[in-house]
Amino acid sequence: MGKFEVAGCRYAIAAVADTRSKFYNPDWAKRTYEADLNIFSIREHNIGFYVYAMCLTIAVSALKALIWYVVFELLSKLKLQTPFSMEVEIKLERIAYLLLAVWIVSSIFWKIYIYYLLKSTGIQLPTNNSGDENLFMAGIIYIISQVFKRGIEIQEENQLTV
Amino acid sequence: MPIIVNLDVMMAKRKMSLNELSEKVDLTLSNLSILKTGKAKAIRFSTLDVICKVLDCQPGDILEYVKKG
Repeated sequence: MGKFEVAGCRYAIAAVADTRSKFYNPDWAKRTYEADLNIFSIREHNIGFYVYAMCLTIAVSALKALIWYVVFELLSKLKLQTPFSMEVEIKLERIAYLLLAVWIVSSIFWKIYIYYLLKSTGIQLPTNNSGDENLFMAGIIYIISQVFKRGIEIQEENQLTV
Repeated sequence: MPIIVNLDVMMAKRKMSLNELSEKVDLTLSNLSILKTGKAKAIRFSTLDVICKVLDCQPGDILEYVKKG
């Protein structure tokens, strides 16, 4: 494991552990209420809804940590003299898919959750549209990965031209 | 690929080794090997020109089109 990969692992584990500790901590739920997220009242009302909200938060944190890990891996594999390699292309594509997954979890699942929460308990949570930039970023990175793929093909063609 | 490279056949006809050809056409052994084994994706006209000159043959003697299936 390289230096970047170890740093990425540490960051990922720390991010997930931090969110996990919040999950068991009622004080944190109160603080999120102060930060304009009515999660504490959900916990008192229905533990199932609270667990679901926390699972979404943990899933998003874990996915973001995984993205950071892949970014660290990508940086350790990237050589500026020969940037077009299959490894880099695969990692870029993986980052794009992970960003898409973050968007799905943080935007779509969260909206569904808010809808059902309002329907069954009457608690209105603020609609969180902050995940939409992940979709944009996923699209951009996917396009870059496809450009890399074409670059690799051209490089290979050039190498096999006698 | 339906294009077949018959470089080895022409080399055998002229009784020329790969090393000798490599020296005469000024190409590296690895590049000639890529061409001979059919791994090459493209061939420059200048390369074809010099190979034909050294082996005293036509491009059609080196390259052959075979219809697939």
